[in-house]
Amino acid sequence: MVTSLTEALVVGPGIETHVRRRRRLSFRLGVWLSALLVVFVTVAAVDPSLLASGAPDTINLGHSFIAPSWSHLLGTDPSGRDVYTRVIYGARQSLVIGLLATLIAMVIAIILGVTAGLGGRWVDALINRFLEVLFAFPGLLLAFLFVAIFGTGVVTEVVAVAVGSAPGYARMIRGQVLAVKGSGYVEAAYALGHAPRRVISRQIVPNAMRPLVVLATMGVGQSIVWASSLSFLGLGVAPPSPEWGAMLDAGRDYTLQAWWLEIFPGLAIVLCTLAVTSLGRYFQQKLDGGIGA
Amino acid sequence: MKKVESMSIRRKAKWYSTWSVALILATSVGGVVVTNAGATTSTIVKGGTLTYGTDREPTCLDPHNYGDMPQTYIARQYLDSLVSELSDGSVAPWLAKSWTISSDGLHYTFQIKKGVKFTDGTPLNAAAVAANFAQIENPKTQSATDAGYLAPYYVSTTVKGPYVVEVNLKKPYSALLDVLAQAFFGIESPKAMSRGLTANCQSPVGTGPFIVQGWVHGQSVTLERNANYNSAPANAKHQGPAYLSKIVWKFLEDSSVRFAALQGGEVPIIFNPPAQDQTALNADTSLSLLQFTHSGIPNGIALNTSKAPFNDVKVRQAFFYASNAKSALKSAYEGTLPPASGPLSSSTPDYSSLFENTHNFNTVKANSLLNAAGWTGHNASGYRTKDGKALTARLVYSSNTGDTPPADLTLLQDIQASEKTVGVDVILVPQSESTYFNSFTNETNHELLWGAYWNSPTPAVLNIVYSTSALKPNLGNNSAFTSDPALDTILLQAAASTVPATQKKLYGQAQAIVQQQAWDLSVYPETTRLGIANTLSGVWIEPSEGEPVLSDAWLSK
Amino acid sequence: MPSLSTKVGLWTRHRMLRRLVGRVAGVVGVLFAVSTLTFLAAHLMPGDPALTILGGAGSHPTRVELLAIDRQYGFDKSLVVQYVTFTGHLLLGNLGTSYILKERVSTIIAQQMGPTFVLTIVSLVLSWVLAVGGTLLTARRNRYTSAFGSGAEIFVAGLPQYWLGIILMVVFAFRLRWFPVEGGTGVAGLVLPALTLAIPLAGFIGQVTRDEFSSVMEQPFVLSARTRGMGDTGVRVRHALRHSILPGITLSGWALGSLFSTAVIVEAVFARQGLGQVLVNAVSQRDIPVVIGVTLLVAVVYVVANLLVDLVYLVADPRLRSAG
Repeated sequence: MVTSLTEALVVGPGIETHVRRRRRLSFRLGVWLSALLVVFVTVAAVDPSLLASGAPDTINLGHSFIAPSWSHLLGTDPSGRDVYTRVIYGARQSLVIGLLATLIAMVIAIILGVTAGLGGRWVDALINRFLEVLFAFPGLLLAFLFVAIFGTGVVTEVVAVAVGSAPGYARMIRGQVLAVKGSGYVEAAYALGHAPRRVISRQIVPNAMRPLVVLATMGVGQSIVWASSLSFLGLGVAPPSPEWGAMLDAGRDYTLQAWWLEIFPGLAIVLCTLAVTSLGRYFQQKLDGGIGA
Repeated sequence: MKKVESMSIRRKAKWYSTWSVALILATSVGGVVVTNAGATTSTIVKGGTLTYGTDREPTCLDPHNYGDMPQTYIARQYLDSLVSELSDGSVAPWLAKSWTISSDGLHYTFQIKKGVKFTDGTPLNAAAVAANFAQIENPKTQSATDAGYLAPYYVSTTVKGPYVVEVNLKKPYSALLDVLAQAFFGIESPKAMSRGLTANCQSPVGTGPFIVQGWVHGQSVTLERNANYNSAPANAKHQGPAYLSKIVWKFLEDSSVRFAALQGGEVPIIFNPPAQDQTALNADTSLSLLQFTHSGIPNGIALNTSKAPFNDVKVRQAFFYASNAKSALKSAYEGTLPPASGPLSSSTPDYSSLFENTHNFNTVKANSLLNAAGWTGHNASGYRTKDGKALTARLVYSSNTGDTPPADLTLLQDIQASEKTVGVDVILVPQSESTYFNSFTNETNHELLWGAYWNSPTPAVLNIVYSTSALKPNLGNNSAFTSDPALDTILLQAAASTVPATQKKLYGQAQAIVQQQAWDLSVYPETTRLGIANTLSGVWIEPSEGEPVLSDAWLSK
Repeated sequence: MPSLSTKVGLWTRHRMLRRLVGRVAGVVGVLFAVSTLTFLAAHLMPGDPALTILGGAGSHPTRVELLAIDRQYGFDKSLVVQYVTFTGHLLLGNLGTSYILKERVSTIIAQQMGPTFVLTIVSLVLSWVLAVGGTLLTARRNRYTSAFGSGAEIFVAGLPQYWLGIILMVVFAFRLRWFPVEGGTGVAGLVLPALTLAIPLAGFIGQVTRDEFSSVMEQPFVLSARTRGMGDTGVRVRHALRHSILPGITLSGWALGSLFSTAVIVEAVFARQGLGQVLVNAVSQRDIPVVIGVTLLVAVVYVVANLLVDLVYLVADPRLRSAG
């Protein structure tokens, strides 16, 4: 949620380097499990019918509140819908929201960050002040206001999460651009007489972007959690969508009598986020040292 | 954000709503009673702090301002009214010890009880009562419910003597006494009211059994016993000061939290225990349920008749047939609420039971009606189409769980799934409260609206909700945006009639039209329910607006 | 900063003062921009404020009543005039009166700030205790302990607070009844909400601290301390820990602001008094003065917390002092 690693990576001076400094490639088993889970979730998102035979919104009023059993692996909800099927079908929406939100955030951030990093003193100062103002609204608050203005729904949810997380990425990108710009090999490229435009497109931007791949991977996990928080506050996607956060919101009044409604969608979010983040960190370790900054 | 619970009477201020009938649902389990017996001990215990767990927080503790149900529920604890409602629809003396009505029905003269003081020391007299009417009429009070009740009839209030006050009307208003019995018309100290709305909202002063001590927004209101209380209504269980020394009126929005607090013994009484915990409540012998069914228009879905597709009566009827609303209600509320079918709640006078089964689940009829209406095509998703347009209906509801609890959402999804089987695409659209309320007046962005109920004691509510005259002056009354000259005529005749048999006949005709036109899909009647632990005794629900009365309640040790 | 002034020279102090003045001016500028942005955002929200004041469309006010409110509150004026009025009032410290609660926004904030503040501070401290404890116990131990420690950190850092809150509440309040369901603002009622906020935060302060800790443990001065005969615990606590909490301190400024906004969810889950509940209700009811007031407060907390962190950083890291 707001306490996100990606956000932490970009908030304070020097933090990004601290995290990147991790050296050992720890727990390979975890990496394999994570990869497996990501593949599973991806399959669920691409073609959920491969993993679940029923439809997520098939209501069966006679079969409500059935506890987890062989016929209903994760139980059924008040309308008799199969929770396992809904969790599988929810993967697409949650994943798409996570990916899209991160993508939009990255695009906004790259435009702001690169412009600030390369645009000269005044542009940099202007964008920096702007980011500082956005930073003064902690992410969730920003997303919250955004939803209040533009209403609920998938599109606003995606954009709200993107808007909430973009300032963090933008600041990080700006830092990277500045670092790469001042690095030895860029100076060398200038010294060799390369045109500035060529240096920017061939050297600065690609090198500054490299750590973003990792950042984006982890951002996806965080966006999923974040979007589900909005759904949980009733500000996300509308029912009967099986989006995980929406499922949690719907299940919260039934915790005493049907715990499975609250546990399984929550576990889906946690495990998915965990897997994506672990992979992100694994790639980060692999990349370590290759940044050249 | 989660504000909460369910069958609570929500935003809609209930104008014209006077007495409602307390319905004693004598079920064998759970023990639904109108006064809770509590523990078997018969010795009344004085003192103690009672925590009352409720769902929604009032916006202002002065019920003259605005006028939403949470205000009247709490105001009953610290304000006395002129008269007190009885369950047979008549009234008992309260701050008015007697009254006379002029033969033309235009002048009500009240004899005010002597020796009563407001808790700030101001004496209660005729001038104080007149000051209350003046405050309600003052635009600065921003009164919606009270002003709405009085507007068509009220002229002035005259002080006739130190303890004699006369209310003057421009046309007869036989419901006036029942109206005044509500805590919405609780009598407040003129000195306190003169502080202005801001101060008076935080700590109104009455003559009631409790005194507002403090209000922590989002958390609780603390009420202290009025040790000098000497003005209980004639129908109270005892005269003199309340037994409890303190009440903490606590806002617990989440219904499962409320129930867990009741079950764990932290809170001895909660408002609207959640339906999903009904079984647990029934099974627990230390808990009981107090239930009150409101009369008027039941809760349901208003069909927007101002535009396609529901401007076609065939499509509306098809929507009714395909909804399977009774089964949806049973699944969502696990059988804790009776189904409502037909335009009026079954406890309303002149209610006709003829329409209870006219629109039972029937996909064959729904399909043939839709075919006849020209929705014969089908798109790739299986939904019906006509002239290339899909049969899509956006159903708006409040995203606030106080307005739309999870059980309501389950119900709506069940209806949605049922409509899908005949090719109607219902899209659920949660809206923030302000947008949702806007939908009552703005027909452009929705086809269906959830939450279109109206609590009222009389079948004349049909005139408020469906008549052509309701379309314009007070926006939002007519949430189906209907206009039917034949119905208008019948309702006018009924209002003018004083013969019960004629009224019954005319209101029966009116219900037939409303049902045949299929404007509002009724799902369940509005209900006020209290979950009570056996440690608490003497709680009762008064019948004017279903307010809980705690001045006769006591906690056994 | 008396401890600072004794250590640094006059020259450095002068530069620091200039830096401080610059920062404070920046903070004021940011807050001004935040108020403008919030004002605009609030006015972009759909719905009629006059209707909100009269109790929403459900209260069915007439057009005459609505127009009267428009005049009373100045909604009939242009946005520019409204903005100038708003800014003028703000400069005088007047946040206005709630449309819904009919109470001064400053009073509402004063009433609600305490519990939220206590919750965030306790959560922050708690997460530090958990993070540092976890790091000291598991970092640079044998392979499995380290792997467990860092795995647990990643796991808890990804827990959504609302979910964790519900699970904790169901298990410890509903089932085991160790804590009250409706906790109020007492100590017993603070435990579960604070843990809900602290556990994920600890997970990720821990990740940062652990990384730093691990690299510090490989530094020459740690080796020399060991050769001087210092025990493992001594090295861990006196040398490595001291250095490894620096990035965590930077995080704390950010975390405090973010905890403030995350408290929205936790307060909702636990029905706990605080600004979160107020803000959520205000947004959904379009109570603009309250939305603006609370947003501004959160922004102030965030900005001031970061300012403080900068200063603490100067104290904690001598290198930065000379760099000015």
